[in-house]
Amino acid sequence: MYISILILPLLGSLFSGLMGRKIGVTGAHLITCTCLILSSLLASVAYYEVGICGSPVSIHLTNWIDSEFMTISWEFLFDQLTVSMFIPVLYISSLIHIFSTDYMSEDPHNQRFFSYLSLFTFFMLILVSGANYFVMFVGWEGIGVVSYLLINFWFTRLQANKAAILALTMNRVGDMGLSIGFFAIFALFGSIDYATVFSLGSFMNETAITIIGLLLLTGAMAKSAQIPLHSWLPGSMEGPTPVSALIHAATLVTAGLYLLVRSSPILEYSSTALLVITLVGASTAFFAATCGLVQNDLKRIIAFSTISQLGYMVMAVGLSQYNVALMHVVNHAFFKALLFLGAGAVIHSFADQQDVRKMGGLVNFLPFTYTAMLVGSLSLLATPFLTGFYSKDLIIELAYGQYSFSGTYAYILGSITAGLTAFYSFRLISLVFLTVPNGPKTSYLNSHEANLAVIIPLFILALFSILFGYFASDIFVGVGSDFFGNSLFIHPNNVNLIEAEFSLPLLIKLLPAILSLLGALTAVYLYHYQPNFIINLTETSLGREIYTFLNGKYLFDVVYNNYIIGGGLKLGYIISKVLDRGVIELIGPYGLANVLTNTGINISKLDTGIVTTYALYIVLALLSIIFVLFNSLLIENSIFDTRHLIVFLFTLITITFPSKH
Amino acid sequence: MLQLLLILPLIGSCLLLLIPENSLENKAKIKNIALSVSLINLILSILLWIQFDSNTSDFQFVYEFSKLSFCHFNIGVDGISLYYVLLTTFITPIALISNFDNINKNVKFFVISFLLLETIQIAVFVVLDLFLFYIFFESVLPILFIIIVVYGSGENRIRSALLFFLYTLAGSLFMLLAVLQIYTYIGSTDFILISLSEISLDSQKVLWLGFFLALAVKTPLWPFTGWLYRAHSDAPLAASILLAGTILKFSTYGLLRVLISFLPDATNYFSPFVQTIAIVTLIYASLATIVQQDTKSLIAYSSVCHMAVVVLGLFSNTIQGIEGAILLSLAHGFVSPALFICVGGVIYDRLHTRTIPYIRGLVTTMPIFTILFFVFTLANTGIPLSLNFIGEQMSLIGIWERNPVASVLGATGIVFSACYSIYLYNRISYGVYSPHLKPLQDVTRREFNVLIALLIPTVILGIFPNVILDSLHLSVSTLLFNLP
Repeated sequence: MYISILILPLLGSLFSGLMGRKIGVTGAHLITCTCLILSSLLASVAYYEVGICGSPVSIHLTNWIDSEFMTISWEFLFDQLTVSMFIPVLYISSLIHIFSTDYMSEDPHNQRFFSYLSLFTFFMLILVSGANYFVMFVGWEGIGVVSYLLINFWFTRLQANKAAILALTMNRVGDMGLSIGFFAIFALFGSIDYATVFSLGSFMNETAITIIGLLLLTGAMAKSAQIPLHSWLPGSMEGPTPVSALIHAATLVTAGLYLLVRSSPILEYSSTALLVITLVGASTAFFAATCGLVQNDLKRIIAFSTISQLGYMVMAVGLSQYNVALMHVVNHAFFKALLFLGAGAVIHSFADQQDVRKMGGLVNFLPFTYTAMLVGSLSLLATPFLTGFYSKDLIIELAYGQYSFSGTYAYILGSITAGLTAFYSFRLISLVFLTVPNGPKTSYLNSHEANLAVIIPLFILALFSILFGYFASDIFVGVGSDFFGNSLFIHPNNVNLIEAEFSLPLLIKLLPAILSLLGALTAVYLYHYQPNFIINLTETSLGREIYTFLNGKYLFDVVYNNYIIGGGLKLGYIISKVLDRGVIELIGPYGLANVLTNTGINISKLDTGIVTTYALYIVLALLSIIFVLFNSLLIENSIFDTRHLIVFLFTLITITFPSKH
Repeated sequence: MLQLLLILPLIGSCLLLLIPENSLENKAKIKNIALSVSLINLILSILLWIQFDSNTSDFQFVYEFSKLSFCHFNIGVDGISLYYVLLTTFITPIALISNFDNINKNVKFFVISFLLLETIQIAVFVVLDLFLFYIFFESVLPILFIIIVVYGSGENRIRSALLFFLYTLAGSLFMLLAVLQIYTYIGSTDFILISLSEISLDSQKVLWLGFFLALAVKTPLWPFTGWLYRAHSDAPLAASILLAGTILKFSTYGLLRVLISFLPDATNYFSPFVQTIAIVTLIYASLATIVQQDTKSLIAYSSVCHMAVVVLGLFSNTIQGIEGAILLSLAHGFVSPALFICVGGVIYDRLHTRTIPYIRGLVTTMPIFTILFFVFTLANTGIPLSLNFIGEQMSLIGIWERNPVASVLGATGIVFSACYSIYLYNRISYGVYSPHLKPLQDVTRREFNVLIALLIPTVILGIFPNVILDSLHLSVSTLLFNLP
């Protein structure tokens, strides 16, 4: 059963992709959706068996690489962490498959699309169920490649091409870090099996563990879009909206989180690595929220919101609260998928318009979508007792509960980010649904609620966004819950859940909620009652500077494009043209050929046909012979004397260089 | 068994000489006979593989031909050479098929030269005598020279062929001197005798440099990379396939067989030097690859990058590193020819251009080709589930144990390879279909079969590399631990 969970999506993908011509569009829909739903049902059973009954499963298929003491197997591990990841991955994947049957129905490449989606799910499942780092890496690279294909799905668009290449190459930077991390793990532990590595973590040198932790973080930064490797995620919104929902909100971007959470038994032994992780996470959360304030593309606003929430999760990992981070991964998957699918429904019904400034007043045309988006936004900004509240609010509280520099830093940035999140969420709701209509009339006339294949996923996701946190929070983050068993490890020194739950001042606990409320009210007030205020704000020079800076995403792209990529290409050009086909060529083959020709010409010129010249040669030759013969008597030095070398060099130059005449 | 492998292509060539090349039927017959001979050789070599005993590190299938007085014409295979023999017998039919449709003049001599090349290449890997190794190592040069000049495309092909010839010959000169020195020192050039005798460190260093120069040109390592992209871009497809697939592996084999096993102290002494050169080659060639505008030279440069990682693995002095290097060189022997077939065969046959900016949006009319091209591109970047991944990771894991800095710098290849491979793939395949191109036909059955034949081993061995590793262990362990 456990292997079927993995295999079913692959089968669906192969059928849909390779036999697409035979089975047709409907066939592809049916097969991939059936496979995914079956897989989800099996995953639910697995969740019951492994998670609730607490009996992890490990399946050893066959050996993969055996070389001296290096043994790596095709082995899968289904523990509590894995099945907890199965739930969001498979549920959301199934819902998005269903959603896409309608959303992509007009596209000529349905089979290809569904094949990619299922393939992505397969690799994601491999990633979360591998029992060593290499099997995990198979999934890790696989989702990267499928993400490339899906961003590039509309392959004729230049923007999509560029975004896809950026996503792949930037992820490869992380992969490089991660690979180096594997080498370091192998050198230190002699194995890359989770079981071996995690059981030895406490016995190893802390510096080595820190290096490994930072290398794993590099990998996680690229996949989970943390500063400074985040810039591919906003670009990846060029792909179809279901792809953005599945890959760039709910699942792929949580792969980095999964890696960090999975590696908790080694990360826990390096306080430095944890400190860096906290700082990166908190900074990313704040950075992305500020960028999200001024974006005008509907999907990009949500993309920045995703980066910001990923920052929260990474922050939680840095604070050693792995279970809270995991809970936020799951919760975020539900409400962010809801937001993206809602955005997809809006875009689809509104003539593919993505600019929020050209929408408005859609609440009357799309009441259901509006409700779904509102639920998602409320859940996102941690409205009490909705899903997001149980994890996001807890992360901020836990940060303060550390009573350390990094914890306070995370608390302050986290609280401010909560306010900003509320602002941009309600800005989005206001601009798209509530303000005066700003779009063309025909778009409004043609706008309509989508059919059942769209409504059902939205409805289910809305339910999860409201209720999942309430039901699941005691399992995931309840005080004293032993749900995760051995799959997560929190060092006893770092447990501060009780501290955070019961001993924080009331104001500290309420501050994020107050800021969120303030942010939401400001957004509604500004965009409904004082719209001129914002326009006037950007008229001042300082306001304009700040706006440009934020809208330009802190100018990260400028630095990358101009200095790193541009510099690299320039260097490549110099190497190729000046060095490889220039200097080396001149010194090497071309130079050699030249030297030989010149020498030939020069020597042939000596043959003048004049007797006196020959007499000179004879005399010179005699002198040289005498000189060579009595050399050692005269100068008492070896043949390698500097003077000899100078004479020799001089002769060589005279012979080889082309003479003027 | 081995002697049959060596003789069969020669018999085939003699048979082909008898057939006049005057009609279309005869031309087809010539091609078919050549292909059959190479396929029979492939089957024979697979039989050899089946009979191979991986529980001994000795040379197997040894055959002694004692009529030669100046050297020992002994042949035999061990775990290291076995897979290079298999690679050769596997790549030769592929090279033959890949050019079936576009070589129509002098077909007979074309196929005969490839059969001769097959014999010579197998001989390089199976001879157990240093002098014969040198002879066969060199004797591919004239044949390839002729193939490039006669059947090549491009106006610069004579200069390219000359450069290829000169570079390799100039390097090999030092190898010849080293071989002669070994002969005067030990009194024999037999592999086993050399490995039994002890050479002092000082003489090892000089000999090592002589061999290394020849092998560095063949690998190629910086600064001797100049011949590779020229030879590749002007050679006919089949010659490119052979060059990338097997002839570059001469150097891998030579480094293993001669430098690491006969001159271990000097290898150890020069190891930091080689690592430096390999890393310089990797980064230098990677940066140069990114800006290439010619499809074939882009892939040729990417070969340089991969071979640099192979060299890193070979000089890691660990079993993982050396086995990884062998795997990576085999993987490169599958993937690089496949990429050459994609750009130099499939695209070039249809468009007669290799300039990347001229080609755009091929996926619109050639979806199957694009899928295959994509998979090979990914394999070239070392994606998991391909043999390249196993090879690359094992090489770098091996070198980490010796020198972590070299490993980190070697890992930059992971980023670079993604950059240039994906650039090539994306630029050619995606985008709006170029209005200057006429509608193109998707891969033909012949091209499809060739590409699939290369795809299957890449993926299967990527999932089950133990198939190869099992018979490498003893030979590689002997290489490292058999101290005199």
